[in-house]
Amino acid sequence: MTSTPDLLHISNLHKSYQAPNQSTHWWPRLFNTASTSQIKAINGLSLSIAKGETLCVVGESGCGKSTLARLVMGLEQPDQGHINYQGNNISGLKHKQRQDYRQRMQMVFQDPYTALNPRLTVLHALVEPLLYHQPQLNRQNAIDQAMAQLLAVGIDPALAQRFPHQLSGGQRQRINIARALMVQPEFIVADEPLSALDVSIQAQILNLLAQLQQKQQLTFLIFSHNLAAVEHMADRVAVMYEGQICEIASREKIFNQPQHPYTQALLAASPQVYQAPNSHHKLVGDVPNRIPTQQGCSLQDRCPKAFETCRHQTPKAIEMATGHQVACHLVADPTSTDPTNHTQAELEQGDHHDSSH
Amino acid sequence: MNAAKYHGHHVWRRFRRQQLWRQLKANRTAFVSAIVLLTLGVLALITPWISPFDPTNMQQQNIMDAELPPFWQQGNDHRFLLGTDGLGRDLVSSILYGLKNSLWIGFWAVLLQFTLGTSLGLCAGYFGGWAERLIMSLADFQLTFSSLMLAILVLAITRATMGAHDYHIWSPWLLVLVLGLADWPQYARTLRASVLAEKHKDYIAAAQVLGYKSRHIMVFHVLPNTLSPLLVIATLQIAHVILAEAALSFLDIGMPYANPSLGGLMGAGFEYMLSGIWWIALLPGLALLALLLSINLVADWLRDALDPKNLGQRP
Amino acid sequence: MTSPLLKVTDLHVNFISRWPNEPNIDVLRGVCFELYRGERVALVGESGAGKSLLATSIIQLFDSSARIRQGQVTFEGQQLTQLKPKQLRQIRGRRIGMVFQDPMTNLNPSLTLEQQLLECILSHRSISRAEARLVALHKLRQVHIPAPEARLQQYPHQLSAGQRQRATIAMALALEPALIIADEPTSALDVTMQAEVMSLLTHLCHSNGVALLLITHDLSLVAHASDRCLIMYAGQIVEQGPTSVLINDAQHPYTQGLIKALPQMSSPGQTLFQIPGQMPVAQELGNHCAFATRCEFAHDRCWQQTPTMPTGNGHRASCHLLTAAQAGDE
Repeated sequence: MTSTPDLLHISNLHKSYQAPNQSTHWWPRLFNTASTSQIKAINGLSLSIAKGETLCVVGESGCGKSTLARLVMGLEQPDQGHINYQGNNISGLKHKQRQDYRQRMQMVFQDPYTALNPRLTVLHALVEPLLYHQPQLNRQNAIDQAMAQLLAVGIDPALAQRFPHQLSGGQRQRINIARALMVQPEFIVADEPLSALDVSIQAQILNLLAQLQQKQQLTFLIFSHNLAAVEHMADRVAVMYEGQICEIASREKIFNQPQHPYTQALLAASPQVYQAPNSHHKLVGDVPNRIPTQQGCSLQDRCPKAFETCRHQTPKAIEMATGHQVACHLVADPTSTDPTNHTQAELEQGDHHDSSH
Repeated sequence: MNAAKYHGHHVWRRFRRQQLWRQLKANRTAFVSAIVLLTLGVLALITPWISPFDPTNMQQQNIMDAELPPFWQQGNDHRFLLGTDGLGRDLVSSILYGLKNSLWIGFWAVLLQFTLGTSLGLCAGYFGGWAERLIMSLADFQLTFSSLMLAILVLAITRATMGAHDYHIWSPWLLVLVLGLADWPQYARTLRASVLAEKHKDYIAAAQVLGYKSRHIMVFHVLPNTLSPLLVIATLQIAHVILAEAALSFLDIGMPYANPSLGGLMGAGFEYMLSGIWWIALLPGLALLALLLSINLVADWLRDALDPKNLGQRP
Repeated sequence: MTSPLLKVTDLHVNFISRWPNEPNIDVLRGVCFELYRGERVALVGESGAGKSLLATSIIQLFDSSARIRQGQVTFEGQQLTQLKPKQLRQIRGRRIGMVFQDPMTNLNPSLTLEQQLLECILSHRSISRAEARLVALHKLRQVHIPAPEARLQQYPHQLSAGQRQRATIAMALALEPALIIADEPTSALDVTMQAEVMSLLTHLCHSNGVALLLITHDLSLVAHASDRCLIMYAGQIVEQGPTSVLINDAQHPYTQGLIKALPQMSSPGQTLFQIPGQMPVAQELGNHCAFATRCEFAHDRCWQQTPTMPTGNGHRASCHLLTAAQAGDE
């Protein structure tokens, strides 16, 4: 394996699940014999994260965010594709081989309550990973380290003997972060770390994450649907739809010059205090259930700008500028000379001017 | 110090922090039933020493004393507080011995069920695959039979082949074995269901991400969170087994009449009911009622009390 | 001046403690507010502030361990706190509609939409089945459900989350109530659906002349969807006023903090403003301003007495800083 400058590199990842048995006859339903369709949760996704950066993945529920998080953490195995960590393929490793990477990458979960064992005290939850991985460690030493970590995430050590249900949501999320940091990771995957928290607590957790990143040189992969928070903390943003990345670029590019219709719709729908909602970039219909019966772009039924090509051909990711990739037929490939693409791109540009007024 | 040791160190502490005692005091119904259950349990334990007579000892029985009424009725005898049965045995002693026998069978049968069901259920949830399919198919197969029907069938055949005399020597053990083997699917199914439910919670994923082995996760994270419904089932099952044993004794394939359980006493007293001698059936029945009711109420309380939300000091 | 549609005065609600020696502590502590016909009012607060309890207290649909200790709820001139259960049932649904957070639990999974909508309409209105069906279809069209005739025959799980929530809105509107209480109606939905359902709800209420009490934890969600805004903290309303005025000129330090803590309010990479600590639980509240533990401006007086909400109609907040400033002005 050649070493790459990326900390994590995901290439052409696929993962599908068995769809629930939709058969209308009782026999195949009872005995599960009908050929069941597959739900594509991750559909040929590629992504890379550089050391020390914060990459936010934005998307609606059901777009495969959680599946991607679980695949990266090795909680599930991909059907196809590779996940390289510092140049080494870590997908499909057995428990023992994986062990080495377990402690380098950690995860913060969405619901801070279910992510803690209800029968363990805060202290117990923090001490356990230490004693598990270093059995020779003195008990008092482990407790001291846990207490220090509690202070680092802004929890009063007096709460160490509390049980999860005796803490508030914000405190629980801090404990989750503290537990992840107990094994000294360098890479943190956070799946919707804010969505279960109150607004005033979200700011606290955002600040804590930023502060920890600075202090410990952490790399973050954050999954979120909260665009305001993403805009605040991301270095780069990837927009995900139907198990694919439809647009990826630096934060400024995504928020100031979104190219993909889906990115534009997401930004328009995000609630703002001082701006009236923008109804220009509106999607039609709902998130479809992912049974791949159709060809073409996965957004075709909801996209107001969909045209003939979108129905037949799946768009490929096009490098618009350095680091700005868009997968949409409306966007021109600067390297391509296909004339139809150009007309569409001009059409799209014109559209943009309208919307900015 | 390794993590497993650290866990062990905390098991008792955690149990104390469940604050069972404080919760018991707060719930009057549970408190009263716990006291009743405790009293009945203690009485059963010390029966041989406090019982005025020994109903299993033929020497102490006199047919002349038969069918004497309890103390508040005309024609009572001061030696027999609650009267006597058709063989002239003291009802106080019979009820105490019946209580002892019923609880003894209930306890051992449930222990057998619990061990069998929990280990099979945990195996199914833990290993998955063919082990799970095999165990669960067995459980489903067994559930298609009524456990009482099965017990009647087995015990009746055994009794017919052994003969009544030999059968009555072995009947307590046979009852424990049959009733204990009959109801394990309940535990296995409940445990497997809660293991599957817990397995998908984020704290299990967090434990996997922290690099713990599955055995560690199973024993220290999954099992403690799935045991409380099993304890509730086990408590209720004691009542159920006692009731089943009572039914079997009533049908004369349970405990021998010479060494009766509460159910056997009721069954024997039943034929006297119509001749106005109600106490032989009714008084053991009342004892059985008190026992079952207190067990069920304590189980109800236990269901709430074992909720992890009750752990720790209340703020 | 018209009389308010809903008037809540000095409402105290507590939960009966499970523990014998513990006092019952008020979770709602003297809530007062008014809601006029056709008005869209947003009730904003963090979890634990008591906003859902307030909503359920109005129609007394709360947990059996909760109890209204003191105070009045007047709706269309009737004292709801003194009504019998049967009279209350007439008001719930018929006069006050509810939309809950999770549309999947809001609808019965084993009945078709038609069965549920018709049951709801027929139990309150004496019209024929055919007429009720027409009403149901009309309402489904109003909430932009495509092919409503076909949808009526479907079960809730066959609809998407957005459609389910729109169906519950249709159900709430079907009885032409005077007030709809919507408890976090969009928080189970995706961002793109959220905006649509929110605008649908506010516009429909507006065009049908239905008053709306919109409960949410997200100030930015209601900034453009409500006429008036109530900010709730630890069982009390701490600030109220017209939404546009309130978000541009927040008076209470808590409201100010909520707005300043939004990630949009600071440039990327900067440290966000944060309100330290967390909301105190009911047991921790003493005889002082509930926000004093987290307030950067707290002074002696805040720790000595509870501030009161000034009377009046306009934008007002219960904070000692403001009363001191007003006293200084005079």
